[in-house]
Amino acid sequence: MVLRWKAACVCLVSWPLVACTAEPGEPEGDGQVDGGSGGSSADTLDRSDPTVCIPGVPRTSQLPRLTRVQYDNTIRDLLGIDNRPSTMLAPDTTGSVDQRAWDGYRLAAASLSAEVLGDAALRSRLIPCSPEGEGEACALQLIEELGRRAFRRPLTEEEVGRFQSLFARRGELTASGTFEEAAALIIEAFLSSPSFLMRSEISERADGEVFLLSSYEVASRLSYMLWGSMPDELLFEAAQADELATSEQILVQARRMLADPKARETVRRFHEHYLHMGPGTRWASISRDPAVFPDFDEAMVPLLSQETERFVEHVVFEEAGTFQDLLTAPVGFVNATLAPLYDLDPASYGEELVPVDLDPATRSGLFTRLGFLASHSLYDRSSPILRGAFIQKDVLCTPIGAPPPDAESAPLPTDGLTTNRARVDAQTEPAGCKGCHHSFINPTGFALETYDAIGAYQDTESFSGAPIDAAAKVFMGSEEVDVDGPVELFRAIADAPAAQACYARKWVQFAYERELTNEDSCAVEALAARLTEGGYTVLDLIADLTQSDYFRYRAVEVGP
Amino acid sequence: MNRRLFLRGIGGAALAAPFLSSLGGSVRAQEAAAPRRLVIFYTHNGCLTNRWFPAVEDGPIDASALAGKTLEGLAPHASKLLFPRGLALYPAYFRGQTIDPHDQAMGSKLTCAPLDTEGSHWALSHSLDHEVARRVNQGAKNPLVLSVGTAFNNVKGILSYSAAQEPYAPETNPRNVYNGLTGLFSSEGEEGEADHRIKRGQSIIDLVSEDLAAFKRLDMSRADQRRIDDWLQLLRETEQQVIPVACNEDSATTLGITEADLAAASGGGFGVNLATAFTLGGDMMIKLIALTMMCDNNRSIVLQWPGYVKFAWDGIEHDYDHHGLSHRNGSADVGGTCVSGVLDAIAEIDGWYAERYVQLVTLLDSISEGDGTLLDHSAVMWLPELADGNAHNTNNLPIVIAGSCGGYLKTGASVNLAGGTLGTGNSEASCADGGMGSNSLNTGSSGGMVPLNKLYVTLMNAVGCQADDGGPVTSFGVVDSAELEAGITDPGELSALRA
Repeated sequence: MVLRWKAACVCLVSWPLVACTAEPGEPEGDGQVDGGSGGSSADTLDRSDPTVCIPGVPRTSQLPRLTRVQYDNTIRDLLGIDNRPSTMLAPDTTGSVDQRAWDGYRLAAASLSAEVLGDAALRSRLIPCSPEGEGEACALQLIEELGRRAFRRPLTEEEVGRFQSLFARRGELTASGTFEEAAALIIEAFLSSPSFLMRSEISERADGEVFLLSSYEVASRLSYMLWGSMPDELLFEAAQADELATSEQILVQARRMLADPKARETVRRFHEHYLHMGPGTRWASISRDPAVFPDFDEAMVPLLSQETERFVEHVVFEEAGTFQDLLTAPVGFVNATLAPLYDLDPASYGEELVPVDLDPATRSGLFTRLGFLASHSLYDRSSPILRGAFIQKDVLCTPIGAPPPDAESAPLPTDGLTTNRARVDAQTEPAGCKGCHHSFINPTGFALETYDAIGAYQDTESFSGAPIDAAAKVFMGSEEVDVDGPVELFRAIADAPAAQACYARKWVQFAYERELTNEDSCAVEALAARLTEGGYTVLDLIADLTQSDYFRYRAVEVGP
Repeated sequence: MNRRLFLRGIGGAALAAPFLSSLGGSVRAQEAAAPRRLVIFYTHNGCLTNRWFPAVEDGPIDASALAGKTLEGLAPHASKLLFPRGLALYPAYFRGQTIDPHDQAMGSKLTCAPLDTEGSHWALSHSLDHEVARRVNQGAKNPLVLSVGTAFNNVKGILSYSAAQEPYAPETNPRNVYNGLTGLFSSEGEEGEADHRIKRGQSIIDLVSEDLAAFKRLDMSRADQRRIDDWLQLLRETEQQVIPVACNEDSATTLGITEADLAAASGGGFGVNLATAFTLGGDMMIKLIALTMMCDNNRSIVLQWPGYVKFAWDGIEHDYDHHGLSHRNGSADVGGTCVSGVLDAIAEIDGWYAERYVQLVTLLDSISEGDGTLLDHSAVMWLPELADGNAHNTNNLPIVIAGSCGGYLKTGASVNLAGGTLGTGNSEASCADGGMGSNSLNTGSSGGMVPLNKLYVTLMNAVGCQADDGGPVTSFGVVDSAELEAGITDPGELSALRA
């Protein structure tokens, strides 16, 4: 059951929520979903709430197209060209290929094949033989080897024939008909092919009402999930030997792949998504009133994201840490620019970010690093509302609903109020606001009032000298927990099943690249249970994403 | 009769010859009447409305009505302008929904639909540019949606929707737009070279079609079948498109679209700084709009400028981003204290965008087409996100349309559609005198509540859209009042805007 509040309140990306008019209603279990999720005609189970576990195989498209990120990585691994060719492609969509998308694919294919043609090192890497006579034998070898890697499975005889006839027409289709030009033509044709551009799953081996994926299809699921790219030779060998048929075999490969540097990029991208980082987000446009924060410098903005990325990589890979460690580890990454914000001596640091053990009494994990704190602040003050709303909505997955009218225009009362906490409480005092703000959003943010708008620690308010009060009662799922300050807050969140399930859910959604279904929610529940047991590393969790039925089976979508 | 396109007088020079030389070349088909098109030029964060509107609220306008206004640069085109006055967006913040004024002004602007109250707040219907594209584009292809720099792929950055909750992100790389046109160019001169290129392209289309056909043997879902069918259909239509003779490399060169210019504007497609994206990139996108029209490759075109940027080019050097300046306080907060010189800073931005709009209109009016110019056969509308950026109001919207769209629209006129006196808004009610005073939010307008839907219906008819029964279009969008449940309450076009 999803807890829902009638006309509850929400904080907006660039609009601090300052007033609400709606009364919080009783929690309801109606779970109404807009638009209908489709696919429940045959069974009587209630699929209106996708967070409810219904065992089975999710019904998914057989034809997902490569995303732009996957395209870049695949071209890097397929051709050895690493220059972000996806800038030539249309933006990612899940719909049909339209003129714009097709133009992009054609341009990229033509440009990349021309690049190969003009580069002797690339050519010798891709052309596996020296042509003799008409070069047909060598062309066949090229077609079969490049084709297997481009289509991520061996070509059918029919497909080999199509590319061979292209080779045979090289005289009329290229400028001078040389073997190299023909090879470039074959490469262009592979890169334009739907079987390259779509990660198609076409095995029709039925197992009851669902279909068993082939080992090649499993290899692609593994490589795109863990590396965002095509399979490597070891995966292809395992696929050829049909050694990706059991969960155990899949897990062995997943463990191997997570030790590869390519997995680090995937973990980085997930946490970018988890934290709402990246271009166009709060993290990318932090500016501060120089009158209030003379120490703030715009040069810090990219460093704030880098520090958080380094922290995540450190905890996940170097420390083999858990979700709990992400939320509690006191390590920071500091250089001379950031040192003053952590109350450290800049003279001891250079330009590079280096690991530092921060004071465990004041810093605890991901959300006490400078980046989150500064990005979730306002121009001239910290924002308990932005911070609290993020923690509630995106860390605890508290289903807070749509915002009320007039949310932006209520002023922050200042008269006689000597703390930001008191002012924000007064601002959100009207009956309509109070339900959401005073119970959920504000208290969570108040526990972080020990950090100012650039993330530096403070125990008094800069404008009044009044002591900071960071004690609060914070809702974590259905429990209300007393905490005093950020260290206690994140210890409690690390241990909260709601936060663990939220993290697991976001991983499943990220890894499977789609809206989750009832079947996926069973995987979420299983992972969350392991997280709650403890000692379950983030890498364990990622490896276990390959252990759901979804990784070995597919089911056909229903509906229009 | 061939559709003859030729340039005259870009930058003062007579440029007809290059296009005439291509007549008699490989024209693939002819069409009698010039196509009609809709172009939407879109900017964020409102403007200083009291400086923007022409001096005449209802009645004929000429250059004098624009004197001293933001749009003064349009004076030479005054006889081709239409100011539809008194229009408002529905639903909008406080009018039917209360999500966020920017989310709603973006998401509902071209869709006239509510937003999803959950998740990403995507709009719950498709947008005008897609509706028009579906009805008037060759092959019903998607509209050409352009932007510059890094486009936000969230509700605050997306204007175009292909369907409910299907955001259609803009193309930001000029080279990609150009590439979409070069395949259409008629091949003059280098016969041998072009010949094998055309055959090569066709051989790849054949191979791709065979690959797709193999998928059709599978027992797939309806959605997956549609993906395959749409792709096959697209490949067939690529072959059937009607291409005017002026669609060639000479036209591109004459417009100033060369490899060197593209490289400078695109930076290889990656890593262009914002100043380059806005100046060279924006200039190139405007030229590419003209070339797109000359190739008749799209009749529904959007150019949206990103809103959350700090101006630092063309002699402008701001301390705050456009959004923060529009709030008068330099930040995402509202209210607060005016930053020094904020009205001048906003006026600089308004002026910069006005110059781009003038550039687009001037360019399109300099290219002959049939018995007029590209502009004469188009409706080129400057549509804003908001009226005043501080008040976030979307009533009494400042909108101008250049071009009569083939004689359908009234021109040389301002038309008060709402009745009464509209006024020009109160954008300078706060922060006047360059001062640092307290910022009030009373900078918007009252009145001017005629639903924007009706303008869109008028524009759809102007570009030649037909309703499913073959008659004129009578409604667009999901909602045209603050009552979300009421649907469309006031169908029909705005006959006062007809020529």
